[in-house]
Amino acid sequence: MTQNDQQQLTAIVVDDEDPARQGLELRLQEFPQVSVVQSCKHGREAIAAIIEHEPDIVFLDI
Amino acid sequence: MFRFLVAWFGSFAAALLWQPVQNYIALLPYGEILDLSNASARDLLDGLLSRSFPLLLLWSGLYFLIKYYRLLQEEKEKSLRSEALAHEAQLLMLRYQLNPHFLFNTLNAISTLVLSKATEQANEMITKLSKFLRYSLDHSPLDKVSLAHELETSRLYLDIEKVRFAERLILNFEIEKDVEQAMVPTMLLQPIIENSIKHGVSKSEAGGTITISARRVDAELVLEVKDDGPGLVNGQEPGAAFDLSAGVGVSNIRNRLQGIYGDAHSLTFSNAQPSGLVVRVIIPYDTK
Repeated sequence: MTQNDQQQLTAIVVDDEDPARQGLELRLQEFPQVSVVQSCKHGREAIAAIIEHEPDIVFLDI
Repeated sequence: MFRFLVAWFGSFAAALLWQPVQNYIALLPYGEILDLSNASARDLLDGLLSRSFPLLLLWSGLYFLIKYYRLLQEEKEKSLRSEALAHEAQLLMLRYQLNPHFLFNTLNAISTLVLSKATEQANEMITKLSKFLRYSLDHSPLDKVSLAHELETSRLYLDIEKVRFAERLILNFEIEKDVEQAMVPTMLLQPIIENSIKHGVSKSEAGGTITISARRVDAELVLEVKDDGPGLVNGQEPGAAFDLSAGVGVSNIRNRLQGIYGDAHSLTFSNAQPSGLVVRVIIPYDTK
């Protein structure tokens, strides 16, 4: 199975700290099958983004 | 081994000492035993002095020599042990004060800066972190430093936190000019500031303001760290056992203040107006 055959995963990153959020986004770039569709600074923004994009994965700082 | 040698030497010397006395007693009726005017009593005394006494002296000398040597060893051991304990306490203090979360977040932030090739900023942050760690290690828990020095270290810490919180963390310093030379316990403010950031800034979406103030009131130095977060909820004090993550640093401060100033200090928590927490430390004003 080549990489192109792999299913593309959509993701949303949620963290209130800029460096943490940017760090996660940068690290996720190493995985071509994961595409970050939006990154959010807080919960309300995250809920709106989840409703809009219906992502496969949410990386949520708790 | 030492006890055995002493006992052996002791009984040997005692036997030698006792021998002429026994001979003497055997020869005399009871009434004359203590009469030193007769010839056999003088012989006994001579015998004691010439044969047994030097041996007794030698034995005593040896006994005290060995005892002294052992005492010296014990003392050395004791001082080494207390030195190790002090060192351990210092490392423990560092571990308690430097919240592992702080290190984790800082290293993560640095790693992100490196990944995004912001090398200058990454280097600046590494330098600040290393200076801050250096300062923590250089001073023992009971050391005092000038308030100016303490504030400089707090600024190092706050600069690092500023990278994480950016515009959400607003700082305000209100330091009376001439109090900067006052002496304060080392690493006094950092755990309090860390506590304020945790409760007053990090939990709020909009962030918050932290005000650090120092002033002299008569013979006392009053230090305050104020945030505009939710303040005390139901009178719950940081440092209480159920709030362990925030409390370790604060109760560590309380113990250190007690150790340095005894009852001549106070550490209080109160609600600020209109909202927020004020942590107030009052210690004797001292410039030496």
